[in-house]
Amino acid sequence: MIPKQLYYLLLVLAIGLISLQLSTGIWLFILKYGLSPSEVFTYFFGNEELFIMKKSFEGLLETAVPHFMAISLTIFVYAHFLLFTKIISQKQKQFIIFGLFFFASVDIFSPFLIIYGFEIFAWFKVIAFWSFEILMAGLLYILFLVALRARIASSSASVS
Amino acid sequence: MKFLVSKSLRANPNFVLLLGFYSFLLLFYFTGDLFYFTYFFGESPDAVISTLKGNEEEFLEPLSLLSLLEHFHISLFLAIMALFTSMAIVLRLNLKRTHKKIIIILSMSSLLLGSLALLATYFLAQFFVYIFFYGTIIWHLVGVYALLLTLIELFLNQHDS
Repeated sequence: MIPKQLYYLLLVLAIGLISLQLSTGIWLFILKYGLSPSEVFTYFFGNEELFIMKKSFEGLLETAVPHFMAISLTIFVYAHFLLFTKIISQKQKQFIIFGLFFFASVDIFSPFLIIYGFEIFAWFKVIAFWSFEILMAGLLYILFLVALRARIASSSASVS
Repeated sequence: MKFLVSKSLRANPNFVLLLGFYSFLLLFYFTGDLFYFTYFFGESPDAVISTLKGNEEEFLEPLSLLSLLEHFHISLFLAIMALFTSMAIVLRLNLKRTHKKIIIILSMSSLLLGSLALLATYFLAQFFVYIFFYGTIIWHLVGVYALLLTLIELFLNQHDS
């Protein structure tokens, strides 16, 4: 028998931890690439006047490969809780799950096209990154609400 | 987690084998990561301060914010996944409720507070290094303890969970 209250306590603590992880991801993004698409383009494509080297394909792989695994695993672990909730509709669940994987893919693949001079992908990367973060924050907020409601329900049931 | 489909750890021999090897290898993560932690940051709170802020006497450069964040980002992800899955197994162990609660709260909140304390040590005050240093040791040790309990229940205890 799994104690429901402990289960939701674990979920709340895990939401806190992954929120911290997402925050450091945002911090790193701003620190490394900057906020605007032009800064992102310069970071990857390089700029001779600013003495910024163009990033190599192998260098991009070093970042992209672990991110494919880490982001997929994070979405899978946290989004699978959605399957057991009725707080949002099936369509909304599908939108969140599809959106998370789609934006994560665009975010990770974009630098490979930026280094070949496709400036538009700097825009795609910025939009995809922030969309992913907003969707992930939304997912965590929904899970937090689910955990909170279930904890309140189970504690009031144990009192009565 | 919910995808640990069975509520009983010993319901299926394949599940026992799977969880057994998972717990066994994860033990190496928790112990190995503790050694890596002392290698990267140092073996005492003072050594952690030297790594973060630099030390002129020992000709140590301060750790750059980018290096700190990159280390933090990677190690926190690994720790979350290792602890979260270990604690999902703990929920299914045949232990008293209070015992499980202490394991979960102690490990997960030590990781959370320890991680925040690392940033606080870098930006705010050196005092936070003690929370970071001892918090990190606590979550590693509790992780090892939880996995040892899992292995004992899977392979040594004969009664069902």
